[in-house]
Amino acid sequence: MRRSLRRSPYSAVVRLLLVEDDVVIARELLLRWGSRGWMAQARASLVAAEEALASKAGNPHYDLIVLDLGLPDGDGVEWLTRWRRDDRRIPVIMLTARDRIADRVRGLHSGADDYLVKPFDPDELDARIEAVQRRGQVSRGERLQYGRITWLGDQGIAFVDGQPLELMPREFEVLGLLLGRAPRLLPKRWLVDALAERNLNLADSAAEVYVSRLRRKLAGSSATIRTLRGFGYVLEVGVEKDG
Amino acid sequence: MPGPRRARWLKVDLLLRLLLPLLVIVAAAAGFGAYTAQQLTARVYDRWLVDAARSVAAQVRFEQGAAALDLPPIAESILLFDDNDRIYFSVEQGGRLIAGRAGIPLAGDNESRIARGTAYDSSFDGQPVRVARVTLEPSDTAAVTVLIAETGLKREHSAQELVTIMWPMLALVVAAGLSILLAVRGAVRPLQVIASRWNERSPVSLQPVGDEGVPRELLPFTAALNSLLARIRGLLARERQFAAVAAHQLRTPLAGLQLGLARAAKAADVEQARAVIGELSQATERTARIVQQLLALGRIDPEHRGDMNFVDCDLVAVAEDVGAAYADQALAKNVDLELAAIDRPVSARVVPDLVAEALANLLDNALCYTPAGGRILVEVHAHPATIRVSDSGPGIAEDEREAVFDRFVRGRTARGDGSGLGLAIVREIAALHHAGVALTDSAWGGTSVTIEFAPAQRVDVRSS
Repeated sequence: MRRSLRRSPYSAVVRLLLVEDDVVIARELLLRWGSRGWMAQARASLVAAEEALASKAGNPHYDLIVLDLGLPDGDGVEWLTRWRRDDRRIPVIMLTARDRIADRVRGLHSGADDYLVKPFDPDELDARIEAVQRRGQVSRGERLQYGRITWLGDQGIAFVDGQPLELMPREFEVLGLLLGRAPRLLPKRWLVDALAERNLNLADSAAEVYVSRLRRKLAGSSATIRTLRGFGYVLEVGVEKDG
Repeated sequence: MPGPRRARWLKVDLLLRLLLPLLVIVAAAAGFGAYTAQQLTARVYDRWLVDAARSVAAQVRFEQGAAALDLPPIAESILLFDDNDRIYFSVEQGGRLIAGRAGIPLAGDNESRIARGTAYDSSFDGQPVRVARVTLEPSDTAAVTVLIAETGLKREHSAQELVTIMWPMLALVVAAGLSILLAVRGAVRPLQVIASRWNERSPVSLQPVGDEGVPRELLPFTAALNSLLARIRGLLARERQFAAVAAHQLRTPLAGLQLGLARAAKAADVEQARAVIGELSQATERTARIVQQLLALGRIDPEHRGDMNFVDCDLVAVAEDVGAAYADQALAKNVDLELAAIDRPVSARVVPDLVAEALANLLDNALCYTPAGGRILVEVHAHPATIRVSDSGPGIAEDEREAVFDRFVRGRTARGDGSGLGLAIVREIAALHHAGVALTDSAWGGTSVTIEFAPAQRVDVRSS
């Protein structure tokens, strides 16, 4: 069972904008996030959300937007497509009652970073918010901490249980990708695509090689990489107990 | 498809089709009749005129080659008497006038030969005349010409009188037109009667309409309407049953939630309450799953099949997507979830959403029944395109394998509070793709479900 992360010097306060017109859901989520120390604001319409986003132009005011698709003043997917055209880099997680794969694909194409179907497990939503945050940190080469792993993107060094890991650059990349998805599955296809994006044209088997090397180097630590053959990999990290 | 246009009136259509030919036929008959009658009367008048000329000619005497007319004055006045017309005559021999008026023309238009005489139009004394000419040609002397000219008043009158034969024609047209009008109205009235009778029914009634009093030609319409009503009744019955079942399916977990909440409210301490709430959270998840399954079933109902979009799609990608969504659950349960697929796309013409839904249901079942430490294998094969999900669960007894595909039927080994909808969804989605579904033992004694898409399938559910 996962426990909330201990506040660490590497993880900043998460600033969330919740765009949701259902009063109950908005209240519950705000209470929940407030108790985690996250700063969250709720808006009930796209217009209000746009105002909130524009209120401090030029200043990345929010770290992440949680966007419900069934809003009274328009289609969230269309809004997001339009908004993304202006190159806003704030990550977006969509919430929706639309459970069909076609809608999910449409949502991700419109520029959403993740997608969750109502009704959802709030722990799941929090985990995804954290994962999206971590992915952002990884891609910006920042420092991040996840469980007992510390990943210093700017230095190319990672620590597990306080011990430094000696990683080749590709293995370090793979660890970053795994961290950006944990505790969920990193689909094999994503891994291959992500490595290909970094000009590493790899066969699936080569990706596997990096994963298995990384797994060997993690052996004996509290972090393990589990394989779901054919599907992908999951990073499981021992967690530090709170206080 | 024809473009939108205004509906025609059957009544107007019928009237036009009946009245127009009637008018044309009557007009043609009247015209032809009038023409023939006029020709006939003209000929009769001509004959009289020629006869008169011949009677005059019969009175011509020859005395040593010179002709003379021996016409008593009484006869002449009889000859020349007429109520309306002026009549002139002349008898001449070799240009020499013997009797009558000089100057009657010897030839003219519209010549017609009648019984040894000739009639023609000309003018005399400043008025149009019809002239009859009879020529006597004795062998020993010069020819004698007898001319009788008559003005045309009589002929004009008779032509005008001919118009009177048009009146019966007109009467015929009016009478026929009226009876056609009445007949068409009478024929169309049953339609209105039927329509109003159908309209009088309760607006919510979907009972079949009766066909008493309906003309034979309209029976197919009644049959079509009744068949449509029957389909709607069937659809509504299915929807009602579906709603009832859905309500029941949701009532059960809701009742459970209610009981659980009551228990939590009375819990002695927070820990105890937390335990109950944890259970309730699971129950809520299952309820959500049932809702999703019910929605999925709604989507594959026959009424929606016209909207389905079949595309060529890579089944391996679908399996990766769906499998990844179940990876968390598999890990949490410590079940080994594996995808075995060839290293290239396996293409099939499918509705990707629905195949994903079917596979999700198979994985849902497999995860539900496979114990911790067990395994689930997803296979995708080509030629023919096949998806198989095998698990190491308890399996399904041989005698239940058919029944578990029915809606709301669950096997004896069923656990938890599944809805019994999963395999029904799988079967219906497979049927929609003309794909075969087989339930067999897996290599580890569990269940193995195979969906085999027909090779080179020609799916055609888009019935027009």
